[in-house]
Parts: sequence; structure tokens; C-alpha cells
Amino acid sequence: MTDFDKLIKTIVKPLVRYPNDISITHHETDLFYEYHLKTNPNDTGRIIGKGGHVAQIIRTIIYSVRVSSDKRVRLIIDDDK
Amino acid sequence: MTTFTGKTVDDAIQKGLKSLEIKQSEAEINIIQVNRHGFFGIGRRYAKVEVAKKPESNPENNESSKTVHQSQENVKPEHTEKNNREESNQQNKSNHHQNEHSNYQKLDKKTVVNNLIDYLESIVEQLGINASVNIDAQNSKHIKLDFETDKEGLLIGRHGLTINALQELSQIYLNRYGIHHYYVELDTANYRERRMEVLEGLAQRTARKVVADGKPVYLDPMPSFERKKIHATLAHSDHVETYSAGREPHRAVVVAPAK
Repeated sequence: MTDFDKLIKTIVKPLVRYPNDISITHHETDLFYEYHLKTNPNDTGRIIGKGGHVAQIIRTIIYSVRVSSDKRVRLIIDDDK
Repeated sequence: MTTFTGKTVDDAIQKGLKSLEIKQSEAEINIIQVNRHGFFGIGRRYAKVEVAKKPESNPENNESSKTVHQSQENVKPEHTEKNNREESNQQNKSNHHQNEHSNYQKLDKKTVVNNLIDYLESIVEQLGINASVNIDAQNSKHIKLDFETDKEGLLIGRHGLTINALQELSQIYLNRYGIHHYYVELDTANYRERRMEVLEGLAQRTARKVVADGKPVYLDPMPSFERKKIHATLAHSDHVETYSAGREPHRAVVVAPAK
């Protein structure tokens, strides 16, 4: 299976100010492989974008990976709110 | 804590109190989201509160006023939060100028474009696509990058979903490094040209259908440059007119009979 941690990091890192503050945690639920992305609070807005524009683009790219399982991948951006 | 929603903050609180069967004086209330009316219901947001019973509720008189006061204070967390954030932002900005600025310095266009190509190549590689990116055409306002790959279907995605997302990501990347008014176009295996032909055919077919039925037809949502092609194709038609409806990213062309 594709290394989603690495993929998400590759996409997100150049877009943020504090690349060292990126952390990704991984959970598996009944239906999804969930990846929780956490960035520096100052970068979270940048990663989400106006109206979720940037987040949507990142998701589209990540979801385009084919997963050989009935579970789907899901990217969740944690913002502590 | 249980969350309740209502049209207004008070509504939500009342709902919570009712369902927990407690009085306001016994409750601990935490407002998560303040309601917003929106414009004709667009952008409307319901109020959200958390209500829980206090661990030990003292039946004092001033207790109830305290809770009300608390809830009123809580109504404005957005403002204070914003202020705090602005302050911390400013602090960070000044910090930036001193040390971490290397990550954020302004690079010249050529370097950024080269970085962008590396960025795209590493993303695409992790999507499981072997591709190399070449500069296809370039002027002061526009750059066209071409992916050379044998897995073009995977790269393009359904109706260009993936390649369009990568294109928008590239645009964001450029803006992030201070390059504005510079339009990126991604292409692979002549996909854009083939797509334009498909769109022209779609426009003609739709126009015929509209003239035959006399009813407007909504096409599927498309990105702006694809809508532009439809508009351009039908611009000189005497029998139909076109306009776009909806909001991005669901904006779609409507082909309607001419008045």
C-alpha cells in the first residue's frame, strides 16, 4: 500500500511555514483508514484555504490513490477547535 | 458533555436543559458555535452548545446569575480568540524576519518553477506514477508543464479530476512563494487538447437538444477554463445562449434557448 504519511507530508510540507510542526497520526476504523494531519496553528488556515479550497485539493489527490481494500482513505485536518 | 444545536444560542441551551431535565442554575454551559443568519439562508449556521450537569450545584441565588454571565461571556470567544491569534501572528512574523525566514524568502521565478517541478514529480511518484515533467511552453504570464508518463489515465483521473487538482495545487504553490499573476497549466499526452474537442462536441450536441426541447440544460460542473470553451463554442449561435450558474467548485454552464 502507498505510504500515505509520506504522501501527505510531501504535499503539505512546502506549503507551510513550520514544516517541522507537521504530525500525522493514523487510525483504522470500520470503514476508513483515517489520517489525522496536525500542523502549527498558524499554518492550519493555510492548509485548509478559503472555504476549504486547499483542503479539498489535497484530499482529491490523496483519494486518487487506489487502495486494495474495501476501506477508504480519509484525511482529517485537526485544528483543536 | 452533550452537544445541542438550535437556531439561536438560547434555543440550544433551552433544548439542552430540557433534555437533561435540569435548571440553568445547575448546568454548566459551554458555547461552541454562535448562530449566524446568513444571507437568504446561505451560510446559515446553527448555534451549538455543550450542556452538562455541574458536579455539585450550590442552590445559591447568585449561582444562576453567574451561569448566565458565563454564557454571555462565552458568546464572544471568537473575538478574543481572533485578537490573540493576531497578536501571536505578529509575534511570529517578527520572529520570522530574524531566524526562520529561509523557508519563506522570496525566490526568483525560475527557481520556484524548478522547485515546483520537483514538487510535482515527488507527489506523482508517490501516487505510483512514473513521470517526468517538462516545460512545454512559457511566457511572462503563463507556463505549461507536460507530464511524460505511461500511466496517463491514472494521472488524469475521472474527467481530469486528479490533474486539475494538481494544477490548482501548483497555483497555490506558486502563490505561496510569492509568484502571482502567473498561470500554470498541466498537461499529459495532449489531454487538454483532446478534452477541448470533447467539450466542443458536447456543446454542439447540447445546443441541438436545447433547440429541440426548448428547455435550458445544465451541464456537469466544470473548472473555469472548460466552461470558457463551452461559452466560446456557442457564443455565435443565434438559437441558444449560455451562462454559468452555481458556486465553485460546482459551477456549471447552462445552455438555454435564445430569447
